[in-house]
Amino acid sequence: MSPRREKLTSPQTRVALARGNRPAQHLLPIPEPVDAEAARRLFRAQRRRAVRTIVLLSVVLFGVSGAFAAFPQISEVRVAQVPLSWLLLTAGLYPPLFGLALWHMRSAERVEERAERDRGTGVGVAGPDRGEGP
Amino acid sequence: MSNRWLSRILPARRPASSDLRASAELMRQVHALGLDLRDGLHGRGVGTAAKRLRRMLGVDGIVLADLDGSVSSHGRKLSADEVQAVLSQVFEYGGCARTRLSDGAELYACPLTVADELSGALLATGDPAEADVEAAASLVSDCLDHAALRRARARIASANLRTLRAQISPHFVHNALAVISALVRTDPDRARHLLSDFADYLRYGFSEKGDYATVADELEAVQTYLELQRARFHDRLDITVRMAPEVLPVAIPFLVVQPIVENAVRHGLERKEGRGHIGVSGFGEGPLCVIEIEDDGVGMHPDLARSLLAGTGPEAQGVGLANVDQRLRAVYGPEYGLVIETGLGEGTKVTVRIPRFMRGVVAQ
Amino acid sequence: MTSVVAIGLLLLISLVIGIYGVRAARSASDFLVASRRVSPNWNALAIAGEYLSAASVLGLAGLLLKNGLGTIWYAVGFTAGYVAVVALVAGPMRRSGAYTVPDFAEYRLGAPRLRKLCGCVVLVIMLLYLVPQFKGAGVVLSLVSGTPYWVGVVLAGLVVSGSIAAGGMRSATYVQAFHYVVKLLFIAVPAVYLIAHAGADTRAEVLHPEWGTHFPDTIPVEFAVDTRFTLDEPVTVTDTSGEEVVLGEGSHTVSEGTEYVFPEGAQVPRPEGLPELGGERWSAPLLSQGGYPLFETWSTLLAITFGCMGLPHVIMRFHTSPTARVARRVAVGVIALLGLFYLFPTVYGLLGRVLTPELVLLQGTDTVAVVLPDHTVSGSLGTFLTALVAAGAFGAFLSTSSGLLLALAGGLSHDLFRSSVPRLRLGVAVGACVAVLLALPAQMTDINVLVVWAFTVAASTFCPLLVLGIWWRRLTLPGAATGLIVGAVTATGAVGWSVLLPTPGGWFDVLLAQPAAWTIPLAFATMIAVSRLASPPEWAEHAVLRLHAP
Repeated sequence: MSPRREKLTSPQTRVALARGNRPAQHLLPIPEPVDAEAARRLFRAQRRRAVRTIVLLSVVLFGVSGAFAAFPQISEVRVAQVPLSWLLLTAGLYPPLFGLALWHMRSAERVEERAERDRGTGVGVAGPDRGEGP
Repeated sequence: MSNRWLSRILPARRPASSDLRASAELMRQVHALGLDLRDGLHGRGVGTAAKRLRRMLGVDGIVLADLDGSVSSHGRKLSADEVQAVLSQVFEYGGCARTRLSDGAELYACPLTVADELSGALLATGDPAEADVEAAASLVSDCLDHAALRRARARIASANLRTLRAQISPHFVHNALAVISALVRTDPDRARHLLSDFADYLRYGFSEKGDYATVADELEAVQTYLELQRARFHDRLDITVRMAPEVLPVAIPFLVVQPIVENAVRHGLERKEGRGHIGVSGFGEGPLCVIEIEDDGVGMHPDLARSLLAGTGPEAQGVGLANVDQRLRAVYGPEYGLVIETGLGEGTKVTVRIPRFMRGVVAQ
Repeated sequence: MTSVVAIGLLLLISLVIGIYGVRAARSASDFLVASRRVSPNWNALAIAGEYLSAASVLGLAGLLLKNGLGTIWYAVGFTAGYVAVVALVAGPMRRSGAYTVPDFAEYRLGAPRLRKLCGCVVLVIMLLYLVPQFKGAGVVLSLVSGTPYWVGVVLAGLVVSGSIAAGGMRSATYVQAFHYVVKLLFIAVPAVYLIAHAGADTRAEVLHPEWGTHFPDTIPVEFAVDTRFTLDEPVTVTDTSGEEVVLGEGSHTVSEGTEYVFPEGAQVPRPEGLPELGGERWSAPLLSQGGYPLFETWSTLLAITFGCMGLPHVIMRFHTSPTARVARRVAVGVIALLGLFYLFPTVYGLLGRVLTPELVLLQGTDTVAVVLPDHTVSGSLGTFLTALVAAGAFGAFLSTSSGLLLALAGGLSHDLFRSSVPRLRLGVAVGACVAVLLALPAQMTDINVLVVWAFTVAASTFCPLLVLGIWWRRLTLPGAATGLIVGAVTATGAVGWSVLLPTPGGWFDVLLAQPAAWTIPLAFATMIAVSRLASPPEWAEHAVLRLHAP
């Protein structure tokens, strides 16, 4: 800051900054969804997918560790000298985890796209000239 | 009405100390009733209000009803038909009504009037004193009136925010069109370019989509604005922009940065001889987003800047700044107003410092 | 010395990127470039760079060497956490616009008062996470510069607060992305070289832990603390005066400062409380310190997988994405980057068992990744590789702890003290001081124990708050507050008890050391039960539905 500049605020801001702490603030309202029923449908669809992904994730994690506990002989099977359990643990689990996430992402995006399409063709809600232009 | 009621319970002579305690308690109860009903007949505290009224009146049961029927009751239950019957009587004559229920109990009902409009009724069962119920009904009416006023005040505040929304200045529209028309012959390509920029700018400025935009959107509007200004200044305007990418998606009130830039150009650089420079930079500071707009123009007298921010400055200058400051404070609270650093001949730096997140501030 | 130069260079480059990484646009056409958002790839790199901490770069290999193969589950959990992030929080969190978890609480529950409580939880999680980072940095710095541990820790504190003050605060994205690349290369290149260099015999030995673990060389061991260990066969060692001492079969106690030289080929003694190196418990692919492998593995996995989404500095990064869809995509990208990185730390742990087993006796297993290259590769190449790993480890420390310190400082000033001008620098300085002070006595504590503690607290507090807040319409303010308190107290208390106080033993020990399996469900149940007592405000449903609207 140049030495001959002066730092200025409105009186309200000056008082508020001098006070040091912020009082609890008024809450601005959250805008309502345009079509609550469609939004609820979308919410439920997304929740089904989330539950499915978490269940599959648990199957991968708890299933593999459970299998190690239930069948200790997995460690005796060797692939190119490396024990199978080591292979699975050090490298084998990452591709399924990535695949699962990718699959979830695709399916969640599909649901969103469908919802957007439905909204686009919604009857009566929007006039034909509501569009964003070409 | 409520005055009459209060004068009955607060006698004019100096009361005994037990009377004083009783009246203090009564005032507390009245205040608490006001809090119960602060969200109106359909708010959360209406059940507590019914309970409190029943205790204050000493009756068997209390029903609070709106125009469609009972919304809350405490004590003795009434069937929907019984309530409907007495409500229609009350609403038809617009006054209190007494009936006898099938089992012989007395029921006294009084209308609730908010802003001279019938909006519900208070029903008391048992052996209510008519004057007491009438007094209670006017107290409840007053509470509901307060609730309605409170809602109206919130609505006004948000409507105010909308009217404060920056307007595109006619001055700028005129200048832009003048510049473009001057270029049409000499440099038609650039004129076409500028025209399409101007169209983009107008679409952003007139957008009705919402009250908030992202920092990135704001920057685009600033860019089109500056592009047009450069044409006017015959390119003797230098621009530097430094934006940390982290703050680009932050939602901010619509047209906050652009008026500040416009102010810098109009009042800082237009009057300056030779080249002018304007810098826009933005970065995150923990939970805050900071945007700084600095110019090396003629600057302002500090007293002028102070009066602008206090809202007492001259109309012609810095209306944009005062408006942005006011809006920022209205949205984020007083501590997030503009900070201006300036001096005569020293250029100006305006700092916008706002939280990255504010509930309800959503870019459309 | 080479390592010190490498670390200095890394610091310098990070600073330069931090300061000049934000492109200045000078003409109007550059304007668009400047205002372009961070691309999802950069963002994913940055998130991975910030996330891979000393726990991944140093702690994982160290704990693998010490406790056995089951340790790799930590790495799997660290990655799986992002699958949960993709499925449950990334998109909705972005749509809420919240920058921190307290922001989200305010969005969803409309209560600014909850901020203070959230701020306290942020403080606990961040400190638990910061202390091991400083420990790791202290260990690395003292190792490469030959100074005492405390000098290393203090130096690390100065470096990180200095780099934040010098501009790390402004634009972290490109610095963090750069650090991911540094970490990956500096860990992967030496690892691959070491595998090739080790030779067929060593490789076979690595793959056959049942052959037993022997000293690969004549090795002097100076015990830094009183140590009890067990031998299965007698060993003749030499003490400092050159006299031969026969250590018979059975258990021995040596006092602090004793130095023994173990002969080549001797069996490596087994310190008390640790599994035999290469033994059955060591090579079982499950976590087993308390004797209940499956429970311990599952509980740890739960803590890490669900703790990830509750880490304040992880959540913050999604704010940089322009849309919810991009945020989700970024999180998927992070999984790929993490999976790639985690292939390598294991190498150091596995090789370390064969090549530097004495680290177990020295209680210095966290240093294995730095010690190993110099130890096995002679000459300047070894020094160079060590410098690479040291710089990588320091990069891990730098990026994670500056992210953590900023989150901590933001939480302190914005949420806890609600100051109107955020005193970030002050917050950073205070946070760094406290973390340094706490890290000083933590030299012997494993990095990963502390990190998993932080994950457990996050999983028992912010995870239920976010998951229920996003996916359950009936969550209320009292429910969220009670659940947060219950989760924070139980998770912090249980692990704290098991780390700091004597424990009764048996199942109880395991439940205290790995409490996630009961604290997470408890926190969820509390939130749900208390929320059911009252009805949520009518706007609560709008708040939830908005999170899922495209």
